[in-house]
Amino acid sequence: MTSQNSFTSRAVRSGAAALVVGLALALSGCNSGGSPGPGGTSSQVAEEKPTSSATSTPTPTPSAVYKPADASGPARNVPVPVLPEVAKTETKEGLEAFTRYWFELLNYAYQTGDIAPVEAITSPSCEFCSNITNSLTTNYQGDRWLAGGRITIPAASTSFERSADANYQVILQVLQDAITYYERGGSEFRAATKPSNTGNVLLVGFENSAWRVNGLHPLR
Amino acid sequence: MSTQNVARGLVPAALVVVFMLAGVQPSFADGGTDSGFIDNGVGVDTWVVDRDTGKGQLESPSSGAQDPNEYKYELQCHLGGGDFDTPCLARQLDCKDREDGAKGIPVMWLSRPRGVPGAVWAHHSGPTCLYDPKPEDLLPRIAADIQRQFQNLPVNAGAVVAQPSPNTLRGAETNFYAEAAEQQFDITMFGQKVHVVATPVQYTWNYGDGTVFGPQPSMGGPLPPDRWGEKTRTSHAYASTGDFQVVLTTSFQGTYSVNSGPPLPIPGQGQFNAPPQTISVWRSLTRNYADDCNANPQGQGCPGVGG
Repeated sequence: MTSQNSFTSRAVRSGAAALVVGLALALSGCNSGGSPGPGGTSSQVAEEKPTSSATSTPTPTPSAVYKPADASGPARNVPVPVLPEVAKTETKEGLEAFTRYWFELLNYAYQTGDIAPVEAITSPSCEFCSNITNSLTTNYQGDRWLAGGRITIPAASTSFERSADANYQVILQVLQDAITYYERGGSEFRAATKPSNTGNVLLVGFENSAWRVNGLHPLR
Repeated sequence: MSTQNVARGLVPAALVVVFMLAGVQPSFADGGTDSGFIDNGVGVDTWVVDRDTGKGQLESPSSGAQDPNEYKYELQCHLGGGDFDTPCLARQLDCKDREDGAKGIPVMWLSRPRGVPGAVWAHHSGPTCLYDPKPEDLLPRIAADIQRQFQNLPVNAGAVVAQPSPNTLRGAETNFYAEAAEQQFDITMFGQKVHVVATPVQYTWNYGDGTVFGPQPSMGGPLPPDRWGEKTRTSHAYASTGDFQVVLTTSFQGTYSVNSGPPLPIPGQGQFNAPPQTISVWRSLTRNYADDCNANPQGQGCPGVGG
């Protein structure tokens, strides 16, 4: 760990303190068209066309085609995000890659109601996180599903300094598309949630050779 | 043998209680919960980023509520410099000139979170029309006057509810709670439509016996009748009997938006008083009676016998 500490102090001294990293998250899932509005200056990151999966296996079955959620049903064939190799290292790049991965898993949970993957790398003490996952569990019960709600992270930065509580901070801008709440038959069971644009800090620890989210807090 | 606890004893002193129906709560039992990112962060400890070090830390309670975002507007369809998006111009918002001849300018509102290095501007609201020869001068002028306007609005501080009520007992916990709600107002300032939203944030209870509780953030809440007398965050026990005037002062935080623009924070809180509510504090007498009224109809506590 010694080498990393010296790297950290050097980085801070060098004044390149901002270390702004555009974690342009081009996540699987489709743009639901929540923003920007008509004639607005688009500040969104570019989106990638969703593909059925990253693999190019020779037998692409039609049923494996990704389809985002709409009034007719929940999203289908949502690819499960894969942890990149670099995200397994206790480095600045690893922390950035892990942050992207964590939000991809959160998007996966929004699209499927399956919160197990994101919970597996999140401390139960993260109140913000469990608020979200609990709400998703509730809203996916009994033939209900969500559409939209895609999260993107246009800006993320970290000083890559370990604080006294052993966490690293990642300061993030979180954009979320509008959410529509559907139930069987395509009717909406609660009022749609408007798009949002917020600043947040993610607290991430490196424990037992793996990154883990220990906290998420809104910024004032 | 006079005060033994014979089974039929224990006649409680008369409690004059006016039962109030607990208000019907809006039911979301079947409506799921909000899954929005922003909504699920409500109540979570907020952090601030130190401008000098760039490090985040838990927000100290004294720092005061500040709008976490910054805002700007841009001319609708403006691409920068002298360039405009032609297809956009074709469906540009038509801002009718006002009666006094003021020209309407279609704008888009953008926002971004403060404190996040490299945060991008994202669409917030609009298009909407601004009416001013110099729209850039408008916001500061409205901002300078909004606090005074806010305090003069007919904001309803809310209703005071006491349990039990209108009579309670000396020494017993009387549960007080406020029924205050968000309120919206439309006013005109400098020729612009200004929409004000007032949200109750702090409550001060003056219980009328010299005790003042607050300002504090809890409005309290109703107790079911079988739990009356329990201590709550906002309950009060009167030490003496008499009539007391209970006054609730509610502090409201406000936001204002100009011509359907983004809600901007009103810097100070507005204080509004609810009409005083009278509560009568009675004393209770509790006696244990052991007489069998069948055997001794004149016994203390038996029907028709004063006590």
